[in-house]
Amino acid sequence: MYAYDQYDQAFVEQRAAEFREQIERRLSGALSEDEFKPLRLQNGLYLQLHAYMLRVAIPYGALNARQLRVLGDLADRYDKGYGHFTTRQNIQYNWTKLSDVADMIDALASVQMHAIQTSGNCIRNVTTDAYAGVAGDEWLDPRPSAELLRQWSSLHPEFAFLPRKFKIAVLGAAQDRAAMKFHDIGLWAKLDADGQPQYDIWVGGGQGRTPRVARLFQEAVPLADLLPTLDAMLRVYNLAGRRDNKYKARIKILIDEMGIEPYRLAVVEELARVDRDAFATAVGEYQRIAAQFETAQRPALQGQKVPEGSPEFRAWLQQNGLTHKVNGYAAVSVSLKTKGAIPGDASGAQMRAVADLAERYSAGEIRVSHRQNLVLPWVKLNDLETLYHALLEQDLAEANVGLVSDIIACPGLDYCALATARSIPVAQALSLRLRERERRQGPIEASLNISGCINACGHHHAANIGILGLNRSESETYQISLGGRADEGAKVGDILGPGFSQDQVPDVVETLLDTWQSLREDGEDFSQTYDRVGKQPFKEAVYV
Amino acid sequence: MSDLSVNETSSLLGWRLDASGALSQPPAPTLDLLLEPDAAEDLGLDNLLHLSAIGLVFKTPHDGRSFSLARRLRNAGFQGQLIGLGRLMPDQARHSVQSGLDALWLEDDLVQRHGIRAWQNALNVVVGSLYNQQRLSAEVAPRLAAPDIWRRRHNKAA
Repeated sequence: MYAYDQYDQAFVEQRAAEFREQIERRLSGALSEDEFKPLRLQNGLYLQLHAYMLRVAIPYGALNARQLRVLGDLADRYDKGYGHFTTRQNIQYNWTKLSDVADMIDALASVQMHAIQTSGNCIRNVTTDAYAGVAGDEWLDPRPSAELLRQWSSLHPEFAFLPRKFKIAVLGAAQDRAAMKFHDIGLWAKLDADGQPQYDIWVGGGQGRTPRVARLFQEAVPLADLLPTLDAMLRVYNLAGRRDNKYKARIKILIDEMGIEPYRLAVVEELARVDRDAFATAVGEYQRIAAQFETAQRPALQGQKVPEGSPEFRAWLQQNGLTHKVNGYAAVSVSLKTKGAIPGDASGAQMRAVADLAERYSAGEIRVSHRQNLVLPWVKLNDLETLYHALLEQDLAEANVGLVSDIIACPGLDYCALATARSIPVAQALSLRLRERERRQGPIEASLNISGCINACGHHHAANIGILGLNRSESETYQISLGGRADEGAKVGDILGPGFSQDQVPDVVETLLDTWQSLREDGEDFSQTYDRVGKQPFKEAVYV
Repeated sequence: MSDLSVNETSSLLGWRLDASGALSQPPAPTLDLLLEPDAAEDLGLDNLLHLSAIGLVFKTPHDGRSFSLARRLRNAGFQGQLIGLGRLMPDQARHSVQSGLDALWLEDDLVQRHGIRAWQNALNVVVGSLYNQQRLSAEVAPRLAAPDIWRRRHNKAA
C-alpha cells in the first residue's frame, strides 16, 4: 500500500487545520451558509435531511487495518454505530454534528486519511478496480496512477470551482470492475512496447439525468503526457462548461453540445500552451509511488491448497472469491448485502472485526469495491476456510457477490436532501425476496441497482435491472430500466414503462427474472438475452 | 475592449490582498482591462498578452473560470499583473495566487463582512504547498519560492 511521507502528512494536517478554521467562521456567522457550502462540500460535508453527513475519502478504495479500525470508531463515537460504504469507494457518516467534524478530520489525519474533495464541484476521489494489484486479468496495477492523480488533484487551485463535479476512474485490467465508462474521465492503463504505462483516455461518461457512456478521446497517451493532457481537458471544460443549469453542467453535456471533435481540437490548442516544465517531476513521482506498491506485493507461495471444507464454504468461495495473480493466494469479497441488510452499511463492530481479520489473514489490507462490498485481497489458500468461519460469526459471509441480491443502493430519502423516494426499504424488501429465490434456484448472476432520485448515485442506469425512485403526485413510484451494464461493454438501460408502487417492486423484479430465465439461451447473461430479445417480452410480462 | 475604465475602478474604496498575505488600502490599481469570463473567448488571447495589468472578474464564489483564465494567460506567456476582483472569499485567496494571480482587489463591504482578520489570515491558514505547482506570477514567484512537494521530493529547483 501507499504510505504517507512527511509531506503527505503535513498536507492533510494543514488541510485539517484550514477546515477547522472555516467551521469556526461558519459557527460564528462570519461565513454565510451560501459561502460555506462550497467550502464544506470540498471537504465532504453535506447538509442532509436530518443532520450533516461527512463523506470520508478512501482513495482508490484501499485501506489498512488501522484505518478501518478508526473508521469503525468514528461510527461509534460520532454516528449511530455504523457507516455507509459508497459506490465511489468512500464511506459516509449520516449523523454527524458540525461541531464534531473538525475532531473527526483530525482523527482521520492521524491515520493518513482525509475527506478532501469527496464532494463539491471539483475533482473527486479517484476510483479503481477493488482487485487492483491482485486480479488475474490485470496487465498494469492502476493504483500508482490513481495515487499520482490523487496528489495532482488534491486542493488543485484551478479546478476547485468547476461547473460541476468531476469523477475520474483508472483501470489496468481486461475486465472493467470500476464502471470506468460512466466517469467524466476514464483511464484505461496499459503497457507500451517498452513496458511503460500508457493510457486510453475516455471522456464524457456519467449517469444522472442525462446518462452517457464515455467516448474515446485519445489512445495510448504516454505517462509523461498524462497530466498535461488532463490539465488541458479540465481547463477547456472549466471555461466552456455550462454554468446556467446544474443539470447541464457536466462535461458529458459540453461534449454533447460541442461535439467530441471540436472538444478534442480545443484541448489540442490548450495543450500547446501548457507549461510542460511544471509536470517534469510527474514521471519520477509515478515511479516513486509504483515502487511502494511493488514492494508491498507478495511472492508466490508453495504448498497452499484450498481446504475441502463444507458445501457452504465452497459455495461462498466460488461466489465471493477471485482468481489471484500470485500463486498461493485468493482475493475474497466480504459481502455487505446480507439478507435484508441495508446495502453498503457496516457497523463499527463489523469494521473492527474485518480489520482484525485483515491483519490475521490478508496482510493487513482491505479494499472497498464500487459495488459497496469489502475485499480481503491477500488471503492464503490454506486460511480460506478459517476466514470463512470467522466471517460467518460476524454475519459477513453471505455468498452473493455479483448476484442479483448484491444490490447497489444509495441512502435515498431516508437521509438524502436531494432524494425523491426511499431506496433503503426497497433494497431490503428485494434482498429478502431475492436471497430466498437464490436459495431455491442457486446463483442468479444479474445486477440490480436502486437510486432514490434522478442523480443516480445508486447507478440504476448501469444495471441489468435498474430501479429509480420518483415522487409522483405525493406518492413514491419506482421506474424500472433494463439492459444496462457497467463493465467494459457499458450501456445505459432502457426505461421499461410506467412506474410501480413500492409494494409492487419485488413482484415486478421476480417477473422480470422469470422472463429472462425462460428466454435465456445456453450460458447467456442478462444483457445478452436482453440485447437479443429486446424490451417487449419483459414489458408484456409485467404490464399484463 | 474594457467594460469599465480605469477611473471607474479607481473610485472604489477597496483593499488589496497581496500574494504575500499583506492586506492594505492603497489607491486602486491601474488596469488596462476588466476581463469578464463570458467575454474572454471573443477578445482573443493574443490581444491580451501585451497588456500590463488585467483585472479578472469573479462573478460568484462558485464560478472558477477566472482561475483558468489566469492559468491560460500565464501559460501563454503573459508577464503583466493579474488582479482578481469581485465576489471572492478569503478562502479563495490561495487558489488565486496558485493559479497565477498577483493580488486581489476587494471592495470594502466584502472585506468588512468577512472581517479584516479573515482576510489577513487568508494566506496563513491554508495549505501553502501543493504537490504540483504550475507557474506563478513572475513578481510573486521569487517571494514564494518554496518548491512544490514533488520538486522537493525529487530535489528539483522551483
